[in-house]
Amino acid sequence: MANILVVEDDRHISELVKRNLTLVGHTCTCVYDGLSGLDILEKQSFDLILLDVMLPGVSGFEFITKVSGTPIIFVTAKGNLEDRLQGLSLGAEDYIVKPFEMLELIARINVVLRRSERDEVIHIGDVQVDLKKRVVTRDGEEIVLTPQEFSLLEVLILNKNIALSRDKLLELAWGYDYMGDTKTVDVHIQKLRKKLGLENEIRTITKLGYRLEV
Amino acid sequence: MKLWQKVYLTTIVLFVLLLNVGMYVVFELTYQKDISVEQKQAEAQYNILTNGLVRSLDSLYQQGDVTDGKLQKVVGSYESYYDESINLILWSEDKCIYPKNCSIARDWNPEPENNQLIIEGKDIKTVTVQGILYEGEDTLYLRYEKELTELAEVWDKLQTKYLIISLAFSLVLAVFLFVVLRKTMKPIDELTQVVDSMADGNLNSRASEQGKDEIAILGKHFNQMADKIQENIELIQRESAVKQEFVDNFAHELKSPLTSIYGFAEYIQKANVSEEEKMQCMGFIMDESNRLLQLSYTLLDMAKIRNDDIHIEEVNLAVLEKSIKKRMKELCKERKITLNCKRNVQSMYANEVLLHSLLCNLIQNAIYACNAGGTVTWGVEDAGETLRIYVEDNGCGMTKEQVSRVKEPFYRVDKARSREEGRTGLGLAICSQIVEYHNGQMDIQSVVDKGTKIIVVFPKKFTV
Repeated sequence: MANILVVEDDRHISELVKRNLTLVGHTCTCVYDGLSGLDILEKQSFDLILLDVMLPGVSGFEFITKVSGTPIIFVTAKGNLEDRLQGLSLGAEDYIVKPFEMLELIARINVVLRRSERDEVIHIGDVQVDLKKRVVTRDGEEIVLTPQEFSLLEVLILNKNIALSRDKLLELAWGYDYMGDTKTVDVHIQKLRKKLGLENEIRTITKLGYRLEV
Repeated sequence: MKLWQKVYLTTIVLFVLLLNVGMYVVFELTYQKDISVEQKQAEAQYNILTNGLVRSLDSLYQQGDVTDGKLQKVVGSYESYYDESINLILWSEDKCIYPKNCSIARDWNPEPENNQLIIEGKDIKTVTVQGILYEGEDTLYLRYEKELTELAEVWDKLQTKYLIISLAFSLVLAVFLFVVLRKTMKPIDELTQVVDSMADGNLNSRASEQGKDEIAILGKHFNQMADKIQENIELIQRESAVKQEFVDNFAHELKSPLTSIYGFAEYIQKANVSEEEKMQCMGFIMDESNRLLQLSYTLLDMAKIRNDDIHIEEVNLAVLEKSIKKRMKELCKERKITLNCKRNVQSMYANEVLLHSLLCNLIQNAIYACNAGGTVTWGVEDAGETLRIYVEDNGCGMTKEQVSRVKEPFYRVDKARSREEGRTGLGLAICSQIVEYHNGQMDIQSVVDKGTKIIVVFPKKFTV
């Protein structure tokens, strides 16, 4: 989906981010200090940069002033208001404070990527999903989904290969204020599986929820 | 009511009261004396008068032709002989003779004893003496009245004058006292303002110390107290800032391993991972947990240094050298570092455990700073009053900025490598604490790519 540069000096966190982003379909390049980040930016272009603030050599706040055109999300342990404001005023798209949940990171990445206007057609099994036009087709024929079913499918696609609990699905696809019970999720998942023929792709994970495997 | 107002009013009231009462008493006594003098004079005059009159009457009666007219003439001549303020009244038992057309007033005693002095009323305007003048065919009585108008007038004038003067004095006192009191109380007002301003949190305000009176002394003492308070508050603020920074850094320090631990656990739970990948992730989780454990141990050590009483003893440096060599053997071998010790001192005073910890930390840092094949040298030198302990390496060195920050807790020169090696970033913070407890000093000299020399100066003797 997107080509992402991760500038993070803690190798474990860097590794963790890379693995998760790879799961949902992004391509990740990891560098461990500011200077090599700037070096690689000269040779290659990226859709998004995940940037730590406290970096050896060039700090994140310095780094961002030397980069233009690429959206940047700060991922840092510095969580106080001043730092957030500084980060955002320097032109960052978002500011995520450690420790964070991977789903949150992915969601925020998706928001930023959507903001930078990427139209995307996703292939799952033998169906094509156009996230921008909100249309699902199989062999050129449109499969009619209710808006709620499409939202659920979108959430599954954006977090593909990651298991989502029923509660999380309710929160992401229906919204925080939805009062329904988790059975609703099961019913909609069944409908999606049937309509799109994704019985194998949308896996039930015991004691947890569902995962779209692509 | 304010203090100055109290003093002011009390003084004025007391002054006016005492002045007037005192003067009244003095006036009264003097007046009484004047009156009694007048009375004595009146009696004397009366006696002289009656003597003269009796002689005149004797000769009159011898001539045998006594008429009221003659009597009037005689008395009239005596009366006019003295000054005008004298009145003489002559009467017999049945009628009043002199002056003409007089009558006996009802309130007189018509037959007075001899030389009776009459003082009438409190407000004495006249002195009266009356008595039997002549005992012949008719008993003649004489009344002598002397008006005291002059005396009364003098006293009236005196009283008016006195009133004006006393009023004027009171006024002068009122004004003068007001000015003096205001001036005396001004430093107190100022001091009050200073105290208020301090209470409002303005710790820099100080009282004026001019003058030598009690208020100036109070101001001086207050300033001393304020200095002490300010000093202490600033110390507390500084220390609390340092502590806050430590806590902030500590929170950061916790966040990174926790992010990894949570993240990898979440990954294993939610992603479709292979067995091999799962093992790898578990490894990461264990590494990070270990990091947290190391951090907690180090923090406990720091707390221990802070809380324990430092016991200073004579440390045998040969034993210490051996122990350090043993401790560092593994690390030196692993990183291919040569460790040398040069010392010309046999023993020194310090806490053995802390000294050991200090040297181990410094040497460990030096070893990590070196590339393979590097050399780390440590030693103890006699420097007169003090002992110099140094640890020198020929490793990567540090920039000035790094040197200035290297003692901060959790500061790492090479963050990534330091973490990988499982170090906490607290080593030099502990070292400075140990040095501080020995009243020593730590100096860091470093040149990038040339190496670093850390010199710790310990006092030779400790007063226990």
